[in-house]
Amino acid sequence: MEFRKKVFALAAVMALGFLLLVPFAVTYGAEQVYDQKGGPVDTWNRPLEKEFKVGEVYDPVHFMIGVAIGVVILHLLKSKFPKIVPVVLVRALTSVGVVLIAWEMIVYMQLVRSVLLPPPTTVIAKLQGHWGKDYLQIHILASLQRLFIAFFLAVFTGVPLGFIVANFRRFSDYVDPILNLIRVIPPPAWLPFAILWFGIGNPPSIYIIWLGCFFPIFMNTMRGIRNTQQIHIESVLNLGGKRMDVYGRVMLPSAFPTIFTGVRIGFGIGWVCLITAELVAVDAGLGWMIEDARNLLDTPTVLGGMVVISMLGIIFDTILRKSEQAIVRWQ
Amino acid sequence: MKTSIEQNREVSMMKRNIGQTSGTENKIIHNGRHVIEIENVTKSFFVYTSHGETVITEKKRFFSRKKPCELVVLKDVTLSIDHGEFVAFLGPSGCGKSTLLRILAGFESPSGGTVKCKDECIQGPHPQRAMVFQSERAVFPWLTVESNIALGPKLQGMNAEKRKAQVAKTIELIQLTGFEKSYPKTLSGGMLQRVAVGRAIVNHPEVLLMDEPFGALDALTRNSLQDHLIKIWQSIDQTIVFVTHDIEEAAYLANRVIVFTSRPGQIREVVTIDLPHPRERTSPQFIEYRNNLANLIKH
Repeated sequence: MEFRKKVFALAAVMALGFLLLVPFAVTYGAEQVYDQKGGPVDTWNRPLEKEFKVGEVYDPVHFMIGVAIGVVILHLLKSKFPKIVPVVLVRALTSVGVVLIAWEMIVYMQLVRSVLLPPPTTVIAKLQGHWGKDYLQIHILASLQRLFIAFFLAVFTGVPLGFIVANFRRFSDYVDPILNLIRVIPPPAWLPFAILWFGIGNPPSIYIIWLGCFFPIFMNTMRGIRNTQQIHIESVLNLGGKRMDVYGRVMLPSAFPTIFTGVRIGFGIGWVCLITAELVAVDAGLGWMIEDARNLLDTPTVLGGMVVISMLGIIFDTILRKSEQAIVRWQ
Repeated sequence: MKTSIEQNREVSMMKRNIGQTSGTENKIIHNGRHVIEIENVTKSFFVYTSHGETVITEKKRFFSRKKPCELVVLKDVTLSIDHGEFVAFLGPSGCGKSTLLRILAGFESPSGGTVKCKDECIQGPHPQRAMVFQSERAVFPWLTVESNIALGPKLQGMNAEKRKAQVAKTIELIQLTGFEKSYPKTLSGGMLQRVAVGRAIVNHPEVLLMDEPFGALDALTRNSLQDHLIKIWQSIDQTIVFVTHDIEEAAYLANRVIVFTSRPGQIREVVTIDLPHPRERTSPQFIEYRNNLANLIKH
């Protein structure tokens, strides 16, 4: 598929996602969330009872042996079918396995109290319990909805603004210093004002996340467009292109890798801001789940939330990276 | 492939015959139609130095108290180029020959004098005056070879079928068959420069402007591309203006060599090279021409 079509397709997917998510932002109020049947679920009704004690659901010894056997099997598979099993994946999973075993071992040998460092078995059991009670899903959905609304907003404001500012040198000379002053303020510092301006609920956290996403996207778009080579602009003019062709056929593709890097950085910063923003001002979301569990010294849930955050972060970064590779075929 | 080479050879034979029969005339291919007319063209820049910074502008600054240093790049250049000619601009580096080419392309406007292409004043770039840039980076890295060449016709609004045929023909002409779907990063410098030539000629321009296109390439690639360019020039009916600082290149390619003085650039002499293509670099006439040009540049 042609580059321009791919970019349009990506923009369309983002716009559609944005439009689909906005109604949820309205229904996901500060008070209630809804379960799959449409009935309200009280988010304060969290599973407080200690359902699992350490080592009750999963035996630590079995877990450690199981992981070790898994790693060994992976290596055997790699040596048996070197063409099918990717070496990088085997190495990555090996190091993860070793860390898991070491982590479990530290607690099992009682070097650390399990409340200070909950072992993997407890975390997994806890997450399973939360998932079973539809508790985890609610928070994941609440977080993702917030994140994506803010992220899409940042893309749809940052890229066009960066494009415009980069093309009007004099305008950008006036705008640059102000933006730079705002840019260096860490977005969470806006929290008090965000709450004052937008009240309690989704809007202040969306604002914080938008701030975090916007600047890398905007700055990278500006840099990418400015770094467009004069020779390419002259080439397209020489081939009979008009002003719009310079924008669409030269500046956009030549700046696209830089823009996409900005989008990825922006998403990462947005993810950080999301968790920070959710520690206050909302009552659902992964950040809120962690904060709530902290208040109850429910450390397995805290760690479980962290694990879920890292998993989701990796998944979305991979999706972004793959889509970049699919569009930027020439590099 | 074979047929196209044979055709080329036939065309070149025909042209050689023409060259031999009209050898008494100064121009080998001449039908009396001026494609480009350059009259008293002058180009100067203003150099402002303030706080250790140097700024070069085309126009005098209105509010500047400092007196700028005027840099005259071209001075009173008058020249006309006929249809089908292969003209080389030869001169030391910094003599304004590239600036003159950029004026012809429409990227810059002269400070004084007029430049006409087919009796029309040049205002801005136009596909009728296709440019091949010095650097092979001018090829768009985000488009395949095919799309790079197809961009010109696309911008002209040519329909898809016609465009496809045109592009296929051009790719065959620049001998890059099999690389249609490759991205520029996978190609060598010489191949990229051929893509640049293809991109320029696919529009059937009136004039092909080449700004030291083979300057950055190694000697072997350069020689083969020179032969290639001659073949292309012979197979399509086109005017070529070629800027170079390489004496041998100018003597090898051009019908007419315009020798420039160093800055401010003026035409020192116009040398007509009356040798049929393909020329031999070792033949006594060729060496004579080359020495002649070298002497002109030296003084």
